[in-house]
Amino acid sequence: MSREEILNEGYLAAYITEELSTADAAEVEQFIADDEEIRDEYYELQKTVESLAFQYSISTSEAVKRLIMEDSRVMKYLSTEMSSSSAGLKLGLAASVLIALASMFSAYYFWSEWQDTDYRLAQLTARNIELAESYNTVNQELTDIRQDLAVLVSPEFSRIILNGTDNAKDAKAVIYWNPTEEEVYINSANMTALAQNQQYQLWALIDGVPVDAGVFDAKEGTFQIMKNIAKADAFAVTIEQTGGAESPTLSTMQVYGEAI
Amino acid sequence: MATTTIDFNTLLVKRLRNKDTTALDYLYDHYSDALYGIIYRTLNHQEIAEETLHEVFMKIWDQIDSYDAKKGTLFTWMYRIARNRAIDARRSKDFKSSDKSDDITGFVDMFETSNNEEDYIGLSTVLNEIGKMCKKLIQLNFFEGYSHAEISENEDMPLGTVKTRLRNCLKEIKHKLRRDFE
Repeated sequence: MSREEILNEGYLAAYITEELSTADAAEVEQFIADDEEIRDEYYELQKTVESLAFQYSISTSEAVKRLIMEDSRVMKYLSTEMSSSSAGLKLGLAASVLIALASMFSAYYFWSEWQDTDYRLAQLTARNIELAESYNTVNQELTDIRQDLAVLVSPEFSRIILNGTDNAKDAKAVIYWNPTEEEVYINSANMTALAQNQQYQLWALIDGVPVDAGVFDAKEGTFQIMKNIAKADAFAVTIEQTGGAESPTLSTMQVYGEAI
Repeated sequence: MATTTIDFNTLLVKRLRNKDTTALDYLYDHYSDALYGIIYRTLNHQEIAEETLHEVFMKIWDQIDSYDAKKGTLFTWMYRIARNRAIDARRSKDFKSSDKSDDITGFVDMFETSNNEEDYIGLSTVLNEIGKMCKKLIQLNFFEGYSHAEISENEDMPLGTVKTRLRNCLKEIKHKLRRDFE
């Protein structure tokens, strides 16, 4: 046969399905070995048949696979090396080496685990202290807030709004005052921060005479406890040197409010 | 890509020759469905087809040394074993007495009845484009184990025509597939 016949008359397809006579098959094999084009053509045909076979595959059951894998002809290759006694000895030796290695490994493993645990314990202790500290902080804040809230809701406290003067139109402060207990609180959230050498000073005006009620800084949203005042007609805040002044610098008055 | 396939299969064959049972396990997982498709379609009998599949894998396992890469791919070698074993089973006395026939009767277009959910590299599209006769010839010859002579007789078609048509049909599929890849 010629190479054209091989390429055009179905010899390669027939070779795949083994439908050629022995003589023809031998000839085709020779061409496949010698002729690159025929070899490529044959390879392509095989791939086409393979693709078709995969397209038309049918699922097999696991039971068949088990029968195959448990067939004695397969099983015997799973256990041959353990049958002889010398193999057993070798196995014992190998096992003791393995055990020694395993012990070394586990010793190192546990040592490093211990190191790791120690380190983690230290970390946890530090974290614990941190947590205790923040707990105390939060607890203190909670106490403060409770106290503030008690002041806000108590019928004993009167609320006095101090409005901004011409010096500071936007300023505002709120006084909570319990004349019976002589307690004064101020919320100065709406007052601007001052220079380092200055502080706000609260004055209680009693019969026109200013009485020092304490100094404070402009802290946002916080209640500040002032000096004890039993009697007042009005309250005013001035800006003074840090520490406060004997008498108010009236020209710096920021807020003012009358006690009703 | 061809090179990779060859290299991988060379390794697989080597492991099978070393009687590495994990290689057989792999072989079953990857090829049993494709081989079973051929066996089942040739026999149309589940029990006998499963027995045959078992025998086919045993033959692959026992005779892997006789696989010659020069004569074809690993798949082609396994395909030949499966096809031949299935044909032998169909011709056996047991099979014939079980009220089965080895005549080409009740032809069903498996390409249309195929319930294979995965469309293997777009083949179903390609197969819809090739003629009905093409499909039938390929199915009978490659997947139902009928020889050129049997097909020639059944289809009332000269033997030479069966051969060249089969060859042209395969080429057509190959070209259409290649077109889809490009």
